[in-house]
This record gives sequence, structure tokens and C-alpha cells, in this order.
Amino acid sequence: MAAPAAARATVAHLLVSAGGVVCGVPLDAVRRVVRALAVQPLPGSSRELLGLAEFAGEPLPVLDLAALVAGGTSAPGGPAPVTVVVWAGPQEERELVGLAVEAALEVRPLEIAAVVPSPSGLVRGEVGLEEAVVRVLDLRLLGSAP
Amino acid sequence: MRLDECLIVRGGGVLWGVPRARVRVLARAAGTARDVYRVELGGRALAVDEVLGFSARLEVRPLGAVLRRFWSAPALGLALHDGRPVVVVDPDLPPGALVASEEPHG
Repeated sequence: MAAPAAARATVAHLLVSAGGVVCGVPLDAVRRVVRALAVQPLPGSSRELLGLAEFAGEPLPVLDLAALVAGGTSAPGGPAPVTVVVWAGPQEERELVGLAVEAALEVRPLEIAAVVPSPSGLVRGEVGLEEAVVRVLDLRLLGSAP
Repeated sequence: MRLDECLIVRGGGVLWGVPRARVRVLARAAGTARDVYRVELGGRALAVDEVLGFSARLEVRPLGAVLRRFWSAPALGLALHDGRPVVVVDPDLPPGALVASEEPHG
């Protein structure tokens, strides 16, 4: 017998689209969603790093989520359409970074027990919704070596 | 970290902060149609496209682990100048992107 809905542990996630895939960002890691953040590229950076921006009076590294999770890249040049500012890295050393995405879609509760583990880089696993498969991110892994 | 007196320059599309005390040469080239500056740091010429001026004081934040993972160039840290991100240069180890290539002599 299935557990009653109230007994299922769910965690709210912000669903975003990046590189043609839908990703779930834990909502408690999201600081803000901003549009058209001006990003200054850094010479010699890897392709996942779009550059630096200013956010709330601080320099903010901005990463291309499509490159991080889907191996693709966002369209080069110009501001990223949407930047999700998140806390990343291990709890004791967490830092703010920006994730450039195509769109922020909606906030949905995701059932953690239903996440199929498929650890790869930032991706903790996948969970199926009616309309899409969601790659669930673990942002604590972002500061560690690949 | 608080850094007094930084020269703010643009090079390679990036704003860089160079500790003023270590700048050895800051000269405007004569006879050029546009402003061309020569900046030297510890005997090395920097590839500078534009000199924006001096910043009286910069609040320098160390580079975080996330940035370090994706960008390995040496730097003292990051700061903001007029609301724009600045990479603060380690004067003993300026990043390759900012060091001018040697001009041929002769």
C-alpha cells in the first residue's frame, strides 16, 4: 500500500530549464532570481564559468548551468536571460554563486524518496514528473573538484 | 582585506585592480590618436586597453572555491569598483591574460 501523501517527505525545489533539460534547485539554497544580469567574462576560465557580475554589492561568479548539467552551453554573448543566485558549496564554506538558466519555471515539492540516484557532477539524481524528468541538483558539490 | 590606492585598468575585457604602490610606470604614450597608456608592474608591461583611474579603497574578498574550480589564474581576490567586478592582481604574479607579450626589439 502506498504511503499517505502527508507521510511522504518532500522538499521544495525551484524548477529551471537549462540546455534543454529541467533541473530542480533546492529552494532553501535559492537567494534570488534575477533577470539580465550583466556578466563580465574572465579570460582563461573554463566554459562552465560565464564570468563575474555584481549582486547585492558583492562580486558574484556566474556559471552556465547548461554546461554544468547537460554538457551544452547557453547562447554566447549578451546577458543570460535569467540568473538564479544560490548558496553553493559545503555548509561550513558556502558561498553565493549565480546559475545562468534559460528560464525559472515554478516551485514544486519533489518527493526525495522518488529520486533515482544518478550522481554526475552536480546532479544528485532524477525524478519523474508528469511533464518532464527533473535533474535534482546538490549544490553542496559545486565547490569540490570534478 | 582592505586595499588602499588601487589602479583600475581594463584589459582583455576585464577590470583589474593593481596595487598602486607596486606600479612602476604609468605613462601616456605621445603622438597617438587615442589614449594609450603604458603600465608596468615589477618590470613587466601590462596589456592595458584603458586606464579608468584610481580607487581610494577596495574591499577585497578572497576567491571562493567555486570560482577557483573554474578559473585558476592567480589573483589576490575580487572587489567592486563603481558597481563593477574587479579582479585584484597579485603584484608578484600578474595573470598571463594581463601581461603584455614581449615586443620585438630592433
